[in-house]
Amino acid sequence: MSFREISAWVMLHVLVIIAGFYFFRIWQLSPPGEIIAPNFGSLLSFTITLIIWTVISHIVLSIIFPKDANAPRDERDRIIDERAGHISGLILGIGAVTALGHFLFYEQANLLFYMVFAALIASQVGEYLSRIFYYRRGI
Amino acid sequence: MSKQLPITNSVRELREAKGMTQGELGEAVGVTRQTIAAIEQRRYSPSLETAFRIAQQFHCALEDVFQYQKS
Repeated sequence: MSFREISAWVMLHVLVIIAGFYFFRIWQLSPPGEIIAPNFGSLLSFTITLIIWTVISHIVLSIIFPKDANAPRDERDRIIDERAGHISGLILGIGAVTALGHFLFYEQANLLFYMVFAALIASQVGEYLSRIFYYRRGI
Repeated sequence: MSKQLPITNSVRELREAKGMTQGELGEAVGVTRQTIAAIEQRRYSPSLETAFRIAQQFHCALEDVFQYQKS
């Protein structure tokens, strides 16, 4: 398994767990039938937690695979990154358009924020998943 | 899960005959060990430039290393 595939697996888990926890907290704090307003503090703690775990996981990976961690991307890595980035962009675009469409009909600004935020997370998850897929299946 | 690409190759045989590891070949042609492994398993078709570099390493013509197999 290539270092970049391992890195994608690790980041996929980190992101899904932290984002899952964030949305679970939002759901917990929201009154029934409503959704709480976006809170800067919880968003900041999400971002800081994600950065800390990203840095820790990559330090650990660099200790385990020192040579691979420092190796530049080769032609296969670049093609996979391009394809995964394309899929990620599509997911983000579809998510953003869906959120905007929902806002036009229901005018729920809080939900608009969370939908765009979820689209951002989904696009990143999509990028990691497609990267893993292309490394395993071949391109 | 892996799909087999239409370009077959003799990279593994030529590399083993030369006593090289995947890492050594990868370093010589400018790709990672994993990319050499993917080429050998037909999960990746290298760029023309890399294909020429690989052939050059084995002192072979391109067609001796890579062949197109119609499905």
